[in-house]
Amino acid sequence: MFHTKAKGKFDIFMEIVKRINTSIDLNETLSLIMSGAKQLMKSEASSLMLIDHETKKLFFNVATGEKGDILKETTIPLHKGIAGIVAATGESLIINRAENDPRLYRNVDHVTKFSTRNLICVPLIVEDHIIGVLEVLNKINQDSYSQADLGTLKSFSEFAALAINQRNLYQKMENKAYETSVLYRLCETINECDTIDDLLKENIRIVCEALQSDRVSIIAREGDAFVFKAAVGIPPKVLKNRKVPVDGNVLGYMLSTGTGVVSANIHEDERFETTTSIRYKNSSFVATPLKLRSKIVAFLCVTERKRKMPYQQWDLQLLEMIAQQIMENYSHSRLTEEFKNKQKMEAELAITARMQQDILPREFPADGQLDIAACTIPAKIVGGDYYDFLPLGQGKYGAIIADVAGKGIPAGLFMAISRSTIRVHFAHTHSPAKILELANKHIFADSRSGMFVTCFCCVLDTQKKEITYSNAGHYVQYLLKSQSRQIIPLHAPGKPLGVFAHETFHEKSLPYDPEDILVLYTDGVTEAVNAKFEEYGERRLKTKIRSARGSSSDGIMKLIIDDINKHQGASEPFDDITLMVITMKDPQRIEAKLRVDSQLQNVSVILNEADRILKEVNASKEQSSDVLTSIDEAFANIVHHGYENRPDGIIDIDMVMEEGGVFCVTFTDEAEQGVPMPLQPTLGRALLDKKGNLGIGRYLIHNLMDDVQYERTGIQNHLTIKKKIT
Amino acid sequence: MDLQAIDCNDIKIFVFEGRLDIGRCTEVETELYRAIDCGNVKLILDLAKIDCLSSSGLRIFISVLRKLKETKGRLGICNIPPHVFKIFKVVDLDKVFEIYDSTDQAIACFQSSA
Repeated sequence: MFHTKAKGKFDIFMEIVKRINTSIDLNETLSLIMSGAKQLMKSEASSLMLIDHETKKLFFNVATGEKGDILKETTIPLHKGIAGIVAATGESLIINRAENDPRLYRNVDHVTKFSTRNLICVPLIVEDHIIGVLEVLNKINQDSYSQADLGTLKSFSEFAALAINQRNLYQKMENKAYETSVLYRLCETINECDTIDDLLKENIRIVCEALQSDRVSIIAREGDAFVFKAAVGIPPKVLKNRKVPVDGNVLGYMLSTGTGVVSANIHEDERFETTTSIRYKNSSFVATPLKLRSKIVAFLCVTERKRKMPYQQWDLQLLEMIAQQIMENYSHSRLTEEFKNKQKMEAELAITARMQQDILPREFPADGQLDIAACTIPAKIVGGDYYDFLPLGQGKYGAIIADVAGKGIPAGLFMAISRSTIRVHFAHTHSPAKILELANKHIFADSRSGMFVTCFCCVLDTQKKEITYSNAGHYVQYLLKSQSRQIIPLHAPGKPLGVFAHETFHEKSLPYDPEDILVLYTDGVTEAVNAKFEEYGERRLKTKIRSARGSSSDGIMKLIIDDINKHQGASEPFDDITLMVITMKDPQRIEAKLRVDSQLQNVSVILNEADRILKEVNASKEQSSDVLTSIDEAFANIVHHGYENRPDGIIDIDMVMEEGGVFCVTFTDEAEQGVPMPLQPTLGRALLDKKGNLGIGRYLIHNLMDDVQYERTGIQNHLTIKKKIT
Repeated sequence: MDLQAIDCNDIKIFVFEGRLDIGRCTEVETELYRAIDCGNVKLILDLAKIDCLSSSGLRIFISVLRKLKETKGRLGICNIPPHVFKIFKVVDLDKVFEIYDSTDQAIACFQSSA
């Protein structure tokens, strides 16, 4: 004081300016402006208020003296009080008889217990824009402020306004940098957190730090109510009662306006009728709605600021930006979680499907009595179709094909139950009708969900050479007779299993011959559709079965599956496709099945195989020669005349020793039907004049073999030649 | 199919063994043609060890016979097993070829007439 007294006003002014210019912090600058004003104007107190353009109120950004803390939460509306008038009009005021002036806003004095005698209030103006007011109160040792005092404070305020503006700009830049760093940290949490709960917890922890606050919560919509979803600094007692009321309070305000809220004192904010029951130590409050596709799904509320300054508009802006990022994190995390769940589901489905495939038999041990191939192709990963095969002893074998109504995991489970139920009953009886009857009772009892299963069940007696079958609502199945190439439909009426509690089933038997082929299938085969929704159909299936001459069961199965695939094209399979092919075998039977391309050198493979069989059955040199020559001629004809020397034609050769010692060779090819070679060709000396082929192949075959038959079915040619050996 | 060539003075003897099937006839035909192209005009085919013969084999014999006739040559076929001779007979070719019971008989015949 001693020094300042000695100094002139100008010196003091310059000293204050110097001090202010060394500060870059806005709050410090404001403090320096106020203490400077107090010192310069020889006043008891000073105050600086800035305008909050959002609320149209003046607030004490910094108040000096011990009353400062109280003033922080006090706001003054524009036009109210001296400061309000100055802020609104931009005109300075000197009041030297304050106690009698009605314009004085007594609230502040009341709160601070300060008694104002006189004052000067000047606006803080930057580029014609009023940003606040600066006041000095109670001139020390004097009764009034002079016009000269007003001039001094005006000059000082011009400088102060510039300084504030500069610090504001700097602060804004800093804020931007701060926002960016906060957003970056929020982004990082996407990769750090595994669950949505973890993510929200971590995000509000960042909000706590970013807004330097002790209490942050996310209150989310859950049905009709709002509940605490994540919180920091909220007493457990409050959290326990998770529901948060939204009527008339700040949350209700945000819900109706859709905007965020910043309030210096939430308890006294007239925008809200009621405040929440949570009492804050610090009444400043900032909150923003969290929106998903422009719908409010939650609120992000921040209170209990660590700093003494109340939240400001900038804090709300920061919070709104944070809110956006939190929602993006939330959406991202939810998608990730959904994706993970889906992957988990798919993995589980795949495992179920594999388990289901695993319980289906892959090998069919039948002592050479049966040649079996089977497959099931589920439409959805887990299907309801299945086949089964059981050796029953004494040359008997059980074969089952079934289709559970529905698809997916429930069908898969029901299928597993049905399968074991039917299997169990095979231990007690070998009667297919009885097995279906018993199985039906158990399956009906298990079928609470109204599921049912169609099933064709048969027992193959390889000693009696007999098929006994029964049908529970399944399609008619087929038996291809090897000799006549006729398909016998295996009819037997019956209801699906699991529909009625008590049900009896018809049972039928029929004899079979070696090489007869039993084809069991589900409706996925015949009902496989192409792009035009045309079904594969029974007719095409039957034609394919009939054409499959000289192939193994596996070959026939693949032939049919290939044909179904060809029919379906790119169409998505609609239903499970299950197929079981059983060729009846005679283990004593001597046979060979070959498939070769239409190339002449391949004849040796066929002749080698024929030679092996002929030696095995002790054929004479002449018999062997006749057969081998005939095979050579037949093969040459198919290659030359059938496939016209194209190398990619397919020729199936089926050789077998039939009953009665007849060696039988069947050639099957898919060449065009050609003109047969003459049965009375040029012979003898005249052959010397023939160019190219002699045209005597067919004539030779007819002369060397005992029987020659030709047949065309569909796109196939079948040539069967026979010779009695023993 | 195994084909062996034996030279006996100006006569070339081919010994067949195994099956003369359609898969093999091209190489056999090439072999026989090469002998003719090299100037051999007297060929004897020994079929003693042939297992079977088809029309593709007969066609070779016919074309070789035709080629030799152009060069005033001779083709003899000998040692035809009964089951193979049957094939010749079925298509009436048993009288078309010079057929001998043995190689020696064929050689003797070829040399005496030369």
